[in-house]
Amino acid sequence: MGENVELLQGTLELLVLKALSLEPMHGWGIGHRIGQMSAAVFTVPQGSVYPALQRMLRKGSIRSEWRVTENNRRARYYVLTAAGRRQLDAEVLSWRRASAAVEGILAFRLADGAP
Amino acid sequence: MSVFSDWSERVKALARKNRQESELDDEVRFHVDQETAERVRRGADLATARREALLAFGGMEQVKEDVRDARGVRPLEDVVADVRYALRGLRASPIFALAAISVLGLGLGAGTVVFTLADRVLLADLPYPAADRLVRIYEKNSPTNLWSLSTVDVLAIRDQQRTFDAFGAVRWSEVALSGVGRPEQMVAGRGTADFFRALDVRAAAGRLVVPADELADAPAVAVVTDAMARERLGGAAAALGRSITIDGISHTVVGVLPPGQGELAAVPAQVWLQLKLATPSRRGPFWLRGIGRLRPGLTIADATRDLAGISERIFPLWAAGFRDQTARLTPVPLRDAIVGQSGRQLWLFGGAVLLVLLVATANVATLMLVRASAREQELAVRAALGAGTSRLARLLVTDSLVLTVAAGLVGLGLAAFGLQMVATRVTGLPRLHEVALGGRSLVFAALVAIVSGFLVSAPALIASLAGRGAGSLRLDTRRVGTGRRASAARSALVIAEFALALPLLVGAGLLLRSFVELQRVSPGFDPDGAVSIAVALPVVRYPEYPARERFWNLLEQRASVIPGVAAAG
Repeated sequence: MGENVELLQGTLELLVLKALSLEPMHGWGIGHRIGQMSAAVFTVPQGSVYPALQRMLRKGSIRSEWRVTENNRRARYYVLTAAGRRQLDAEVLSWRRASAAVEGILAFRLADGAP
Repeated sequence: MSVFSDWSERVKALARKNRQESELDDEVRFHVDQETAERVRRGADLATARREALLAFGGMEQVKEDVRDARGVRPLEDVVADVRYALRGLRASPIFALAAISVLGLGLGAGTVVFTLADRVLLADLPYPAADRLVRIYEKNSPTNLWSLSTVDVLAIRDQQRTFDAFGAVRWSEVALSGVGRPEQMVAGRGTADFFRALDVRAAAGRLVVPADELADAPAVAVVTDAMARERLGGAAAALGRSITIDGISHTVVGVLPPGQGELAAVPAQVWLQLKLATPSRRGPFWLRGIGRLRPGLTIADATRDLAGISERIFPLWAAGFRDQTARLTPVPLRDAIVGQSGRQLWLFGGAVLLVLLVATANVATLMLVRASAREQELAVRAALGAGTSRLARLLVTDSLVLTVAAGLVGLGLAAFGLQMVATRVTGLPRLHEVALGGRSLVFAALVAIVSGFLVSAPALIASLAGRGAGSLRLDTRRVGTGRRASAARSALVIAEFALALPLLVGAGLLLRSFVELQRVSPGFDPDGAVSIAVALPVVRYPEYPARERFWNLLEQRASVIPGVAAAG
């Protein structure tokens, strides 16, 4: 297990969108998948994914439906909508640009001379 | 799109609150079960796994509360709760509710009636295309002395004017209609072809009066209203070609007006005939109304100059019999000509009703203030339990709004009734047949209800919120409602009410007095039991004086022998 990092404000929705872009999932599955994908770097209190899901439902980027799991239990699954897919693309793009900029700033050294 | 889905989700959330709550429970329970199973699979024993699963989830109730907040229905839920609470409060004090709602309802109803009248009679456009280009032409020799036109004037304007697209003349008289059903006395308008062209009315069936009808030897034609065609002639299509007898002369029906159109240029006619203008032998009589449609782009001032020129040109021709050289042909916008003096009356009336509304509002505000004082402790408890100032204010305003909206509904009912009364009982207001409770009246009533809702709650709001800092929660021995702020607000309201009621009372008194005086003017005889009957004799059947005299003598004889008639003359 690596070192745990606090999740950046506002990134939770991006991660949820990414997780749901792979396949429709229930809340527990989303949290589990984020943990897997980040190699357990991010600690998210598991419950905090639910308010985020509710907000995203209201925005129309996801929708929900009740399905039966492989263990034969009823669970609420969340599905990415077309709007959600567009939102994911847009947010990935802006995230890449922002993180590249931050990376550039962090890598900046006076000795190198050139910006 | 996203705004729409946002609000549709919010509203759905509100509507399915219970189901959502149980779904949320299910969802959270499933999550914890799943996490427990996962930990058991990794080798923990059941009890430990469950405990750790709950721990990993975080504060269960906090999460649920966050989800509820994220649904975005909090404000809506609050409003619903406040409205329910207000309704409960009103039910608990029915006398207060009844008093407040009926006082405000009466005020609102009167306001809506006057607004509708003013809107339809004064402000609405006349029901003709491009009605702002329509004028009525008068003879005028001083700012207040206007009269109608003579045949000389009409012919001169027709031949010489250069500012109108169309100019026509109209007059009207009482006629006797026979030949179809029961004989009846009615108003017949007589217009030239250009009169109809100036107003730009079209026939719903057949045609209107055309220039050929104005020739001296043209056959008599009639254009009837849609209502008359339906009631007497078997419908618009069947009416065409039928002949009706008007004042003993047979007229062929050549056209039917569109439904709802009968009164043209404020001439209240049920049947329209052609107007034949004979070559005049003198300047008078002045019995014709001239109606013109200005050319596009020209103004009243242009027409005034044009007509003044005509006045000067025709004066010398007829100076022998008509000496008033200052008389000028003068155009007046048709709407002003029709609405005329009733404008000022309606504004006066509107002012009175506004005062009534303010008095009603002030009254109800006083009542609300008393109620709010009684609720001071309840509000203090709410504040102590964590309700913010804005939340409390919303509670009070919702309370008032529920009241005034109820009053608004009552007022609308009263207004619908009142307008019916006005339409059937009141005479002397022009364009009354156009009046009905329309969308604009509804908007007006709603606006007034909402504004008065805020006004009504304002004093209570100021008094109770300003007093809140003083710590009303402590169980004080003062009687509730004796707070200095509250009593100051109450005195102010009483003063305002008195100030408003005084002019109202004086005005109403004066109006009533002049009305009574008018009624009291002695007619010079005992009007009790006296009945007057008007009879129009067709000129064709009674052309000569002896025949008429025979008719009247016979009528007098036969009338005086009818049982119950004491004398006839």
